[in-house]
Amino acid sequence: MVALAVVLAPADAFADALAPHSEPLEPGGRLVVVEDHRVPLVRVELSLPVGSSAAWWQDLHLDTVWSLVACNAEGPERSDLVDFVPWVRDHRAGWTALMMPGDAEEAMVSLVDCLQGVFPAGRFWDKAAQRNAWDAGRHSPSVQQSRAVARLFFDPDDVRYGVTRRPGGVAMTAPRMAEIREGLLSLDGWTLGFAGDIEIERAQELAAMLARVLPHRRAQDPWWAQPDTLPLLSPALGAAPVSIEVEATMEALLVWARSGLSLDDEAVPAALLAETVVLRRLRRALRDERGDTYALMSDGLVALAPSPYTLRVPMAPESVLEQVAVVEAELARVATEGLSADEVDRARALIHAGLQGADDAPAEALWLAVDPLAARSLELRGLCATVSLTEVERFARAYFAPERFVRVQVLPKPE
Amino acid sequence: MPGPSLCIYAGTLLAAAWAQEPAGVVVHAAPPPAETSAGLLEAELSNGLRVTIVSDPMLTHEAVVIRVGVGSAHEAADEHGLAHMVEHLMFAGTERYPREAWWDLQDGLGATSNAFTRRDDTTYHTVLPPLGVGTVLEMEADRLANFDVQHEQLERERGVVLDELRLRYGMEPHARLGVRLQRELLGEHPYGRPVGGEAAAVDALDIAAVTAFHERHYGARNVHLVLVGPLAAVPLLLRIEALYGALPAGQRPTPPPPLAAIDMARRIDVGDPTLRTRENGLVWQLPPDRICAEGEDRSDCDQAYWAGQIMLALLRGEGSATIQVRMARIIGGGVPVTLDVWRSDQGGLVTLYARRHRGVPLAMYQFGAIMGALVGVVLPIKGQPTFYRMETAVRGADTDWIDEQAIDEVRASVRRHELARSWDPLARALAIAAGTERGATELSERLDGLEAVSASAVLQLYQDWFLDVPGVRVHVR
Repeated sequence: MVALAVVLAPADAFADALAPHSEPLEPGGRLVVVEDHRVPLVRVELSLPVGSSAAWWQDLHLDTVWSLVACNAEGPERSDLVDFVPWVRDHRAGWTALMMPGDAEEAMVSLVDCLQGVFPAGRFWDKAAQRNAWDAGRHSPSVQQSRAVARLFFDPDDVRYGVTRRPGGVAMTAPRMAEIREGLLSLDGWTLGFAGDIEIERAQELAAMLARVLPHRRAQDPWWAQPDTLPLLSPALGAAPVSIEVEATMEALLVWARSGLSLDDEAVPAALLAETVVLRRLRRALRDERGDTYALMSDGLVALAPSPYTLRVPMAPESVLEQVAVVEAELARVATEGLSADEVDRARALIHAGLQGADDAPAEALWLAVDPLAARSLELRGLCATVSLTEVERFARAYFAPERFVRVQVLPKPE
Repeated sequence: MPGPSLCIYAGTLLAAAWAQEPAGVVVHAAPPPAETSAGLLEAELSNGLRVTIVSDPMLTHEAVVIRVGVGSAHEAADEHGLAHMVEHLMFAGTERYPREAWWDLQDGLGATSNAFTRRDDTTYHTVLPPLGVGTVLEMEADRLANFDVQHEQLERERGVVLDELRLRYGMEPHARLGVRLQRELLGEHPYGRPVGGEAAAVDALDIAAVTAFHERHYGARNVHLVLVGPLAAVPLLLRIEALYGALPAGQRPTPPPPLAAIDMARRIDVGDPTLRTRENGLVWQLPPDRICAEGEDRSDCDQAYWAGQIMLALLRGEGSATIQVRMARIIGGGVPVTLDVWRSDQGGLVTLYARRHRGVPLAMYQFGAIMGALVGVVLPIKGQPTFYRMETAVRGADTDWIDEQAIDEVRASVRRHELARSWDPLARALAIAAGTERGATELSERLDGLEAVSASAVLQLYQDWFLDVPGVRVHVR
């Protein structure tokens, strides 16, 4: 209890040092600078307000699209001293690079070159290679499992799902890549960020280099940049459990699914605490007491826009029925018995430590400054510390009731 | 029973710590480098347990890593899977900290714990906010000293381990291929068998074997405790001595023979009916990936270490895409080439794979290569199997892809990542425990070694690793 009290004490030693500078930047973007001269590096990041929120389990392969669209090109000014790494989160995507302070100008020239998009014919080798790798990978039983479940949530005939489902497919021609690039760059809400050993004035100079190449005209947002309007659960799903068979696997997978929470939902702090307790209980029941599973996973409880929330349990096919009974009994116990104060306090400590790890580390400061989900972490830390046991219990009883979930079981196809 | 004395045999301490130097401690230390406020303390308890503490006030979290020098390569013929099983059972709980209480306490501290087993070692690691490290040290010492597994605990954990094996190998054809290839390449060498054992071996493990394995290998001489974070080193060292000083010394296991002693076949054919790809591979041996041994000249082995890192990074195409472009042009468009590197205490393997999906006609790949030829390719398409083109790509007569500029690019990339990684207490603690890094205060010195690597040193490695040795041809069907 003493240790817990200490952990919960304010420990934001770096909060002031890492306060971000933010200013609007023409045309329509934002410059964020986290000046931190303790770090002998500069992290630069360009991010755009489009992500994989319409995808699930990386099915959309937006990261591949990114690398094809821009920074994989070998332009004449491409720097070999700075590697821009494409990344995709559920609601933003962009490029990040680490650089020595003296390499900043070269990095910006390189980034501008990427964004202007040079596609020499030779790069089509990579496109074919990506497609080949994807074709080979999709036969892996684990990928088949994921895709089979994803199809329950997203209509595979929906063009929004289909266009990018096969990287380098029919839709991914050079003109199509150019179109995506133009669409991306005309989005409002892009952010250029610098963190580390760089002055604000220097960052402003570098940002001006970038601003010159970004289009001023605002195009209408393409479908993949609009808020997620995909159905969270397919209309085909009813209350009855769904069973899917997948080839060449030795493992079964049980999934409990329902809609998750959007970030602005006031129940988010209670949800984070309740889920932490529920996952710990399930781990105890399934792994520690029964030895039935190696991994218990969950995904999508809180996202920028509502997404499917899933609890996933892999196991031996012969123990599926037993596992269903165990999980549903545990969920029912949450609904009937609630949660204990000790359990919730431990969840508070765990969440506090995780959020502190994210927002104290200088390397994460920029992410915090530009990412709406991460930016709430300080606020969430406070809310998770103060939300009452009653509120957490009320949420847990209602949300985790087993009848609120759709159950999907993915089984090996008999040979 | 070991006595309470400590012997600090090397390292640097924070200036503030000198005043707290405990009586009877022998210190050989140098002041910390001017550019860092971090301090490094290395010590050995009288029972042989090694301790490394990196005190870095810039860090916001603490990492506790315990590396036990026993892995799957030390298992006897009837012990396959034991090292990994013992790792799991270390979380089964003790009389003082039953499993549930152990996790409750960890959660209450905001700590995240896990462990992994490799061929040469088993590593337990925890990351937590400051101030909880004393409790974690107590919990770790308790489970090292009081490992007492009951039959029902073993049975439960057997189920967990079997499920882990199914997830690792039963779901991924390429993971199964990797196991088969390792066995074909390395034969009876202990590195040739899978780390977690196979299902039948795991099924056969009993409580007597588990207990005996722990007793034999979890002695203090075989344990390295590494702490990294905003820590006060000397008081912590005294606490560690109190908690760990009474552990039995035990023995270090005999290391497996060097991989270099193996006479690998020139050609291997492996297959898996679930694979949807045709693959060709080339495999070469690598020396161990460790920094200097005691007594070695540090600047020499530092440079050798970095030259090896640069050589492999060049092959991966990091920093410079020269070799990737070369491979794409020679091997053919649309054939993804991947590089797998595995290194252990007694050597390693580098494998280059070219992978082609069965369902796509070869002509499609050749078309990509011809397109490449039209825009300035070096070699024409000769219609050779991919395998020969891979050899040409890596072992061609010219070495123009290894030059000062390419090395500078890789060097810059490595330097950036080393500096960035210095903010991660767990990454630092794991690298120190694994023997691939010494400690925070020596980062600038290590980077000096990186700067000193010459093109001729990298070219020499290229000669030694790839040109002087033909490599093993692997055909996957």
